[in-house]
Amino acid sequence: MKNIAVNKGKKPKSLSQFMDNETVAGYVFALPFIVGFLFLMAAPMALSFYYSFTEFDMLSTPTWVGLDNYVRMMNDRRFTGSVRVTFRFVFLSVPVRLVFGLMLAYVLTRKAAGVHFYRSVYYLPTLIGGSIAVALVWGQLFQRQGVVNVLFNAVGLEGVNWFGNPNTALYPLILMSVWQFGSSMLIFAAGLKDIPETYYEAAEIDGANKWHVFFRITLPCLSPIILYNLVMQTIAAFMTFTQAFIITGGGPANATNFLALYIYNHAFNWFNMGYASAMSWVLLMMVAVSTAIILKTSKKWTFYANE
Amino acid sequence: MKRAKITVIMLVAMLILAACGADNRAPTQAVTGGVNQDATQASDGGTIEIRVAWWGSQLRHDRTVEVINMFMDQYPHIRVLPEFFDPDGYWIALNTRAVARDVWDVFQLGSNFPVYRDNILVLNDLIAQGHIDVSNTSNEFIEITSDVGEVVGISNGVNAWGIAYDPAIFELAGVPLPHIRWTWEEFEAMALGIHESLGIWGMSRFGTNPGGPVLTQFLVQQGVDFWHEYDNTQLGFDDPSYLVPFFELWRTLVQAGAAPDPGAAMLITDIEGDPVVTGLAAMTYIASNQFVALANAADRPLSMLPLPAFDPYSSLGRDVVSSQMFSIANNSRHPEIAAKFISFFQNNIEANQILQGERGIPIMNHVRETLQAEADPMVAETYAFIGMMNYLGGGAAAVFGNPNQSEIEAMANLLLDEVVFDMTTPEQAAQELFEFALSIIS
Repeated sequence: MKNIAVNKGKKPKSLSQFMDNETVAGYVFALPFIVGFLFLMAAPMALSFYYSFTEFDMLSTPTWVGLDNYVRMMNDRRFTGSVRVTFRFVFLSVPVRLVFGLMLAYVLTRKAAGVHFYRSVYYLPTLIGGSIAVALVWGQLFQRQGVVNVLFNAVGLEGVNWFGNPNTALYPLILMSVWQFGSSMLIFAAGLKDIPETYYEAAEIDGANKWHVFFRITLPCLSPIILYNLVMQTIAAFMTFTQAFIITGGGPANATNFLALYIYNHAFNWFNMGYASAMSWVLLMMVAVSTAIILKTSKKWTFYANE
Repeated sequence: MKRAKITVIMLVAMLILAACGADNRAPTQAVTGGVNQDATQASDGGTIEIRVAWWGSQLRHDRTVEVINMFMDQYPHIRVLPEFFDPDGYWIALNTRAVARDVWDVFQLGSNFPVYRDNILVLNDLIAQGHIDVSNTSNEFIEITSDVGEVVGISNGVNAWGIAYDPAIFELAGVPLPHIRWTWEEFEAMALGIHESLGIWGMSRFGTNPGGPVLTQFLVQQGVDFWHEYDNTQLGFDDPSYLVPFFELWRTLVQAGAAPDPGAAMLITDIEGDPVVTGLAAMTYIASNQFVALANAADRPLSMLPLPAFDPYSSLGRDVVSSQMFSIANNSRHPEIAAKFISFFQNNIEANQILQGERGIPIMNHVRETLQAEADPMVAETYAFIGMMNYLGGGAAAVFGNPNQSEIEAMANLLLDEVVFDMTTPEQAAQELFEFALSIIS
């Protein structure tokens, strides 16, 4: 300490005092994040906002085109189609996923043998969920001669040509996302454990049955957790990419062409970085508005014990 | 006091980390520096390093790496760093490097070269100075990789698109075998006939990209072309009705169950997984350099024919073309060494005996003659096929595509799906594709 102070100048005490200051230490420790945020988040975002008003192929300098990219979206049926597909995916996958997560969390927070083991097992799909390998396996399960159709045939049902039909191709992808309910399950489980025993005891004394207890006590007490999971899962669902990229390539007939995939294609396959940037900002707006709506309406259905 | 100490240690640690980061960066910056330092470096007696990159199958990786080792044995002062990819990964890596002006010294390119035109070193001087030996080939073979007189690469082999088929399935189905001057009408009847009698697909998919080469061939067979000969802002045709026959053919085959639907086609990921290999289809559309891989995977005799035509004596739609080429990056510090490598790769007989024309039929006469003399029956089939193409003659298809090609082809593929699902008609699809292509390129 002394050496550095001496080398740095004539006021040895002031440096150590300066370093000893709590705010300085805080900034120093936060520096890696601040630098990362500025260079990996803020700067690219600002750049992409600028690019969204330009025509930019990554190889030459961007040229300013004003609002052209945003106008182009309105007349691009592939864009409007992908917005529709994305919303359908969000509306169908998020609720089902949350219900599954809650159901399993409910079962797995009861005191029974092997609960810890099962909790880990059910969390596994989430750990490996976003990976390419799982997407490939899923594609094989649902292909025409895949396991799912073999099971269908075994119980006397006709096999479905899942990925060969624009009306059914989205469902295996939704199912795959539902299957990855692990993270919301864990959060639900933590929430369930936080509900005071006394509520349940009181209900029991009053003679409430299991359904009453679940709907009158468990759900209301859990509602802030449900809100949190709902928001996080909605945001994640809007950004779904891997499944469509690996399994369907957005097809057939763009029936699984999620907005994230369409943006990727424009950016990295067709070199329309400007158009892709503009669509990214529209996606951001869509996520923001959806989240705002959820938060706004949540006041009506969330219940905070301390209020 | 203690906290101050920790804070200072943290700061110092961060500085060290930052310095390491900067160190790692230095060589890449130097690489982009310039081209002139080549000669001085070579004379020090130190090793010179060049990077060679390509995409392809495992077979291609193995063979190319072996040839690179041969080259390094012969020139111990040169170190060649191979970088190989699957086709998708290659373009992602190349795009990043193209933007950073840090492209591999020698890199593989196909007909999409216009996108990377600014990264390519024009080879005319290196050829004139004798760094690349082209004395064993004819001017035509250099022209297939030239852009208005500027040589942008040396073709690693020529190929042509055609239909590979399994004669045994035709016999089993009782459908007459295809012949050299067959028509689209006969092709359709064969595919449907095989499906009717065996329940399998008569035809596999038209490649990974049915909106690409085969659609263009349909146009050239009708005397026009998809792309304009030299103007990137124009199309080679002015009437969408030229596009209709292909949409109609594809709809007929898929709706009858005689060709894979879009979902099934998506699951065919490589040439070894083609339904012809597994006996689920009788015919498939491939480039001739893929024939050996297909036949090896199928492990039974297959044959190959040029595409059908609209009538027996009309144009076939496409000549023999360069399958891909090796180009030199203009950010290369050792263009002459890179040229030496390409020259070796093209001309060395032992090297080509390892490569076995896997990238296409070699353009160097002495190499081609040696390989043809030693060819096994399946490789001989490829030579026979190319011979057939030369005999029949093709149409004058544009050698290179358009920078916006892949977006337009993606639209064509979307419309093909929609036609198959009756979401649109062949006529409407043709109209929409025509208007879309025009709006993108102009």
